[in-house]
Amino acid sequence: MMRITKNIFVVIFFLATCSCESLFFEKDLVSGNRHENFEYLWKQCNERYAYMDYKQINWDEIHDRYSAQVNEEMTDDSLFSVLGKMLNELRDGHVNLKSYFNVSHYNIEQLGPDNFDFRLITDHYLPKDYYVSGPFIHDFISNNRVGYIRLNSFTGTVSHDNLDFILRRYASTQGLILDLRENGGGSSGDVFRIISHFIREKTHVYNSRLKSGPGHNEFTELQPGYVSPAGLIYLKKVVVLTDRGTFSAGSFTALAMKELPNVVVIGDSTGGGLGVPNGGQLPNGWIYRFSITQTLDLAGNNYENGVPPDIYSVLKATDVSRGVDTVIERALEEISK
Amino acid sequence: MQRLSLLLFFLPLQIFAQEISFTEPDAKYVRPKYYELGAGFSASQFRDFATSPLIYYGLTGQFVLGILRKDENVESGFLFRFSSGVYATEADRKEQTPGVVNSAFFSYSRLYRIAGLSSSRWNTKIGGKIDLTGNFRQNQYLLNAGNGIESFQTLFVSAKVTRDLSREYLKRKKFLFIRYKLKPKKRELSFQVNPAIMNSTFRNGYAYIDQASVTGSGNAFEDYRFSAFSGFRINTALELTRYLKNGNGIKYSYIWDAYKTGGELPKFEMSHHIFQLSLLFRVK
Repeated sequence: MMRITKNIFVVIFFLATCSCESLFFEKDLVSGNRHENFEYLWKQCNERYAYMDYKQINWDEIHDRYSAQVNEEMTDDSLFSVLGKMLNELRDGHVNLKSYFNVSHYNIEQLGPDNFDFRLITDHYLPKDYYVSGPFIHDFISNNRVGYIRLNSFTGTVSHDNLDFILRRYASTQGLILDLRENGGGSSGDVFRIISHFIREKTHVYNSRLKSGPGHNEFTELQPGYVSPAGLIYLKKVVVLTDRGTFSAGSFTALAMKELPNVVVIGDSTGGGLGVPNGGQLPNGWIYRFSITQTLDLAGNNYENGVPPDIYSVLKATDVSRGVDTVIERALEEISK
Repeated sequence: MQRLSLLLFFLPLQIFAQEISFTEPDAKYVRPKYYELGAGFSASQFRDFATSPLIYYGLTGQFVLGILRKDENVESGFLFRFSSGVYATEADRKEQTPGVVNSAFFSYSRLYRIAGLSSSRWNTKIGGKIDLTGNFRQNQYLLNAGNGIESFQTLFVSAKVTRDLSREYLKRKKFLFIRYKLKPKKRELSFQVNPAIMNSTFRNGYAYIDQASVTGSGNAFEDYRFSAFSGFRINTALELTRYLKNGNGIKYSYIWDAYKTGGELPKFEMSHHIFQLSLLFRVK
């Protein structure tokens, strides 16, 4: 018996000293191979990107077209260019490829006309000493009849204190203009903090779903997006200004506020970006991201290509030349109704 | 045939029933109890196929707290281990995307001596171990997928072999012209292997990220999935323990722990090679 015990001990001691996860784990897939990196990225998009069918993208055809451009002799820069162009076929500002020497990007704001000129507003609408509360620039306009609030980015720093101060200041106005033109998005937490000051009760504003499998239409059940009221509440008319540069968190805000009875969206369609982007890595270490959720309005509409305004309005060159912001004027007209 | 199957099924149980000798402690006997305080480092690696095909390698710090009760017949113990470190891939230096991984392990094990496989110098014990492991991974380079949280719940069957290496008598030695004495010492070398018999995981769903940020639900685990009887895990421990005159001890350990998820979702796999020094404080 002792001999058996010793032998067992020797065997397990040998196993202990040779303990090696390579018995159980697959090998490291780190690779600079051009085709491997191309195929990996193509497959990840094919199985995980949320808008392949909605945008009617023929991803197989795109594979054939771009794989023909890949060869093992090409430089990193050339490979990056091919992969970046392939990703831009998704027509989504939430899609990027990132390396140490470049970041691919899709310029969503160029889908529509330039619809915002802040200098026009500071020169002809706002007083010189306009207020800055957190990320908001604001003041009275139109003979103190309307409060104008500009937010150029969802920085994640919006606070209820900011909003309470702003809404207290404009409590006696006829209405507010929330200008989200050329707001490229940012923290979705800001979206909820802002909207919470424009509702009386917990409000269902849209629905969202996640990719749940490799099929282009495999999603989880829709999950409701709710906003609860907080702080000082403003229930008079609010006009939200949007354009093609209003993206991601800006689009979420526009989509959600369209459901509120006291809100009108004026301007151009937003740039979309209603999918939450993920993050991932290629075998060569480059980082990619693309949307893996869909957000639908309460009627089931998918506005990934842009949340449409209730009233279409864009800057007119003739107006701009005489110091008039066409979109703000349309908003003032709407508040006067 | 059915009888033969039943016989084959119950035979090992019968053998163990005969060979496992449980020592009935008398009323005054209390198994020696130790507090374990340890630290060390680990050469670790992990890969989460949901975000990257690359293996991340890291050198991590380890901190261990435990309570052990052990004698020749039975040993049991609670152990808490915390590890933290920076991990990076073997991709091109210019494309490095290092991240931090913090892991916490809670385990309870209980082992019984098998008399038939033991002697005065050799002690073989078998038993089980329960382990709860949680990882919190942060890698800002992976953008919205930069935070990874997963939990593993594992039931192991355990086997431990201990060789008593004690020197019971004073020995006088001579090396060249130098005479020296080897004093009596109590020490033991053990090897324990713990293969999982049941492993469960709690981990991200297919999308990997959550949508709590846009639904306002505040539930970051909305898409998490619990998978019972899924994946695999094994760990081993090679330990040399020296006991001091006052009953305290010093333990040198090499621990290997490897685990991976199962199921259809992209796999997560991780391993640690831990080198650890522990102080055992005998409690009177």
